[in-house]
Amino acid sequence: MKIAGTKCLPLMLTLLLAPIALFSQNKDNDQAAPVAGVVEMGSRWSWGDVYGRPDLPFDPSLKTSKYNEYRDLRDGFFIPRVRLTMDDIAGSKYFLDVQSNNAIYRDQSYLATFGAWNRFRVQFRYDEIPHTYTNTARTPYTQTAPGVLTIPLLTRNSLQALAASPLLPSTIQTQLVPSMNFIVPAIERRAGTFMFAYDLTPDWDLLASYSREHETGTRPLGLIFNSSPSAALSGGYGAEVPEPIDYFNNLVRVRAEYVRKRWAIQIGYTGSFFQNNRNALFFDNPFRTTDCVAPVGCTAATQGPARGEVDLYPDNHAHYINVAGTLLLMKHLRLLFSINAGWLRQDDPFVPYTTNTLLLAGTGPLPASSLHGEKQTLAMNYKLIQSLGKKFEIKAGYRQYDYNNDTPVLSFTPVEGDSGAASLTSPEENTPFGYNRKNVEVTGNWYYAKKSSVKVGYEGEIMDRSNRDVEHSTENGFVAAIDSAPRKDLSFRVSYRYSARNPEQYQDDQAAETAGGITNDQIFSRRFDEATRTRNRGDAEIQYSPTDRLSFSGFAGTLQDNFNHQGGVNSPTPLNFIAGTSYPYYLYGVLKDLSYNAGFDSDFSLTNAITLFAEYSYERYYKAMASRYRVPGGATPLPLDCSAAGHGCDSANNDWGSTARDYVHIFAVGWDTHFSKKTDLDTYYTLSAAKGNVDSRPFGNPTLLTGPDKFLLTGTNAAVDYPETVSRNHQVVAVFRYKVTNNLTSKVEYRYQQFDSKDYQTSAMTPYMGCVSPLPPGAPVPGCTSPLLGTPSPFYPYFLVGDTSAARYLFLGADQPSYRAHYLAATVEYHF
Amino acid sequence: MKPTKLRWILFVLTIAGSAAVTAPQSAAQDTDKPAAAQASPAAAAPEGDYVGTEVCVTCHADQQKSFVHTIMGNAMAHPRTELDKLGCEACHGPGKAHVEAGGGKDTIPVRFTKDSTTPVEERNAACLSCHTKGNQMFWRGSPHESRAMACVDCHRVHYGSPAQRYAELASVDSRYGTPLTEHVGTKLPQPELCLQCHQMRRAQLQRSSHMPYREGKVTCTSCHNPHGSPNPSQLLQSSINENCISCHTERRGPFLWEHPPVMENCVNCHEPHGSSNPQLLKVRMPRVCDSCHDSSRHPTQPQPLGSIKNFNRGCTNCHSSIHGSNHPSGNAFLR
Repeated sequence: MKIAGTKCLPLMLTLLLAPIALFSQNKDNDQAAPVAGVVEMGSRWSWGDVYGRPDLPFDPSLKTSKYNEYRDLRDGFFIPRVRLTMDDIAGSKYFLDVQSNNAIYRDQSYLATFGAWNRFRVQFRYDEIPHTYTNTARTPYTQTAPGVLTIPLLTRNSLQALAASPLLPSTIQTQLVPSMNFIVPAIERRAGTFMFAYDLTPDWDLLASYSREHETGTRPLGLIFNSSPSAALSGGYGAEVPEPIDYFNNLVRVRAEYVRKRWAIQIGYTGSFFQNNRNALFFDNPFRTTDCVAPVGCTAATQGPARGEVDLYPDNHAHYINVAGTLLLMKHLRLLFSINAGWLRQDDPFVPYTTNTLLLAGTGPLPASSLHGEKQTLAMNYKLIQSLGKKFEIKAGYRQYDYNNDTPVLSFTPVEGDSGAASLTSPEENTPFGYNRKNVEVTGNWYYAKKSSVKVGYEGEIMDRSNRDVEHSTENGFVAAIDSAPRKDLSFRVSYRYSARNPEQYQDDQAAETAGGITNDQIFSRRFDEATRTRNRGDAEIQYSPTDRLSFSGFAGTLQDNFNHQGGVNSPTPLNFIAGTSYPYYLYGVLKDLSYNAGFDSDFSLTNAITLFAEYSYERYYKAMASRYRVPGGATPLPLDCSAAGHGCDSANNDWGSTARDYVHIFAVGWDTHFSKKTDLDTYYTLSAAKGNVDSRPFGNPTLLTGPDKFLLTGTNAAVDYPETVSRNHQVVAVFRYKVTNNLTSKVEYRYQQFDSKDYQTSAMTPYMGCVSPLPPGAPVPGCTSPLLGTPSPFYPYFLVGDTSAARYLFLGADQPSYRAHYLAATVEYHF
Repeated sequence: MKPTKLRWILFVLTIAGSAAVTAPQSAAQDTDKPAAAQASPAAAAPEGDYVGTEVCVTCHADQQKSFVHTIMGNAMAHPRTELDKLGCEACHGPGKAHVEAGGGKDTIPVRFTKDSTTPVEERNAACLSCHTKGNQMFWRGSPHESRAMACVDCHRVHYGSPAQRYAELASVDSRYGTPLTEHVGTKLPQPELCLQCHQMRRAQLQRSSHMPYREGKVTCTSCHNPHGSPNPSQLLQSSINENCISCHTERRGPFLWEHPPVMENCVNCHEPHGSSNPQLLKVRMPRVCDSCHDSSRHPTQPQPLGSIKNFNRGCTNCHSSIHGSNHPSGNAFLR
């Protein structure tokens, strides 16, 4: 993309800098200046390479890589910042403040404020935020009309002819993929905000603002044409497409405040209006050119719609009214309160059940033309603060958040995936979800010495939900903290929290219903956000500054959630298939969620001219879960028997567990050197290194290969460890400044960034991932007869870059590969 | 009057003046307990104890120079209240004793510098005598107030001019970008200012999956009010979800088919401060979904490495409308 604002550059600069010419005076810095400011401008260059994907038949661009994920670092002239302030315009009480960051580029920002001191302010803000998702995407789709993605009919005809053929993978890989268009899925947010604040009197403030944001671009969206993608070429198609984004966000705020000596009140209104200019997205089925339902004109393996339709995010709007204030009830008793009521609405017209014309005729009528979705929120906060003498303080707080869902319950006959007929006899109802959360907090502080205190308190939560598994739960806990400053140069804090959450009852409706001989949900499946939980949290911090030259701070903390409790709403006995295990579990779902962190930060002034700093932090995350592989039976599902075809299978011998571990090291070291009054050099190196492991293992007896408890976690059902993911970000920075005159400073900035990413989920992505056999020693993809096609990922040479269930799924091939980037900028900074 | 008598009179006045201004101060000096309704020293002092800014600047010209073009300096140059008119003494308290003592740090009623002996609550009371509205309305009882943080721990008042300060801040630390702001009176730009204490967040901002914090498009105060708010975690909005949805408005709904954990709390699945997993996920797919979905068939399979549920967008390769669907056939979040 060309620099859109290049033509505007002279105008922008004129607008920004004209006041300087008009008002600035060449005064000594000590004198009051009516105009002051800074302009920095110069030139910059980036170069480097994206080296993470040598397997790709093209070189991804550095400028659209993760290096530029949220930025626009194009080469050439740039204006990093401008700021102009005029304290008293022409000797009046009016002021003007104008500033910009990265003017004329796609990540530019502007802020202009005009006002009269102590009277009013008018402010305009404009911001652009780019977000580039990937630089490796290719797609056969083009947008031929707003919200319509199409593929040439010729291509679709070819694919349809091979839709059930073993030749399909090689045809896609060798003919379709090379002809795909390169795209850069990216969005851009452009937001302008106008604000007016008026101090009616010293006690009265009024504020009004209006903000409008336009979000445009594309982002990856995964879609399928059937209820699931294909399984061994027997049915189902999928495509990842560039979802067109064209949103408008309008935000209106009005607020009035009134303050007296003993009380203050704030009343406000916020209106938020979301408008999606693409209500729905139509996308061609790459593998079918006509709607078809087996057995007429097609088979189960080739049936499907000619195109799909997804309902993109519907327009919605919300209105909030807020009243907040403080009141000094007695000399040492203060009340703080806030009440915020909200009304959320959504009434976008429904799209049809399906785009498959053959199925549409068989669907029932829609129960309504739109949802008439309605929610009301009510947030109430009250806090009393009582001082007891000089050393004690008690706080009591009550918070309630009511999320009340009045959306009507409607009955639908969905056509999942546009291939299977709607079931008119078993309609599905939406289940409007709501909740009410109440929190109580009572804490006492004892300020026993300067900057030193002890805090103890109780925290409680009552949660009520509708249309979820746990309708009522309570959580009780306590908190204790010590802040201490035993010396002027030393302070530390230690805090601890404990809480226990207890659901009154866990009623998963799906666990009471059966299909194929087994319950729809595992009866001891517990969702972690509702389940029984004990939480322990400990934190410690220390700050030490023995001299003006040295400061040190350190921290350590842990958060430990344990869900694996015996009894209550969980199982009273271990669920393990193998009795007497050393690691019993009493639920399915998350068992433990633990995190640990520690680190330090230190600054040291070696001399008046040299300052050093160093930082390090370590984090570890650990999450363990348990699950069970279950298979519903066919026409005669009972008795349950994992070894008999057609029978339901629900045996603890097919339980499996998984742990997710993440390790993160962050390291930074640098120094600032002031060679003279005119020259300084800042340098630093930072490293962010993260590793992740997802490991899985069966909990049952793998040798039991017959009988009702037959072990099934083999082959494509095996619980396996995934390859380690690695993410490292190195950065070396050197900034050299030379003060040419009192008003002029030159700056040379060099940065080197290296991003290393090895992620098995994306590092092998290409537009086609289906049915590609791996190189040995990787196991062959079951059911796949095609030879290896393309070049395997260099990071995962034995990665099974294929899945029979992705045989008829076209991806974008989205990845954010590793890169090395050099950045050099030379600027001058002029102060006036 | 004889010089000796004059010295005695000045001495007595100094002692009396010092006692008058330090009496409440010394009583509170042993603790830094926040005051629920602390009046500023300036507001509380007798009118006759004020000497006026003109007298202060005869000695403190440098301080005057570093103040006069600041936002507060300009505001006080166009006073609307009696407090505004007090100039230096609006914050530092009445200067009569200081003048009569011929200077000296100990005779300044309220000092804000690093070596200040003025208790935190008195220093803060000076600020709160004006800054009681807007963002500061819920300072009383806020976590930072409870931990005896002084306003000047983060803010600087004598900073020269906005433009000067802006340039200074821009060169302080080139590690993080910062959104444009008219508030230049902080000691460091955001997010560096907050990260001085919240070091865990510093680590999280370095993650590969992050919002544009480092690029200066989003910062701490985009979501939090460090001066206190009635909401959880000092959020600007009433709940975590309202906070997230204030930018991601498309996910607000109401939807026909809703995913309850999504509507209840975004942080059930996402870590907003940064994550090593894609899409700011706490745990990568498919495990983030497997944690709850234990029904039958594919949600209960461990999934081999090459499964479509594992690579690329994981479960959302198909269930892409996971934040909610308004499609009549979107009950499984496929549409």
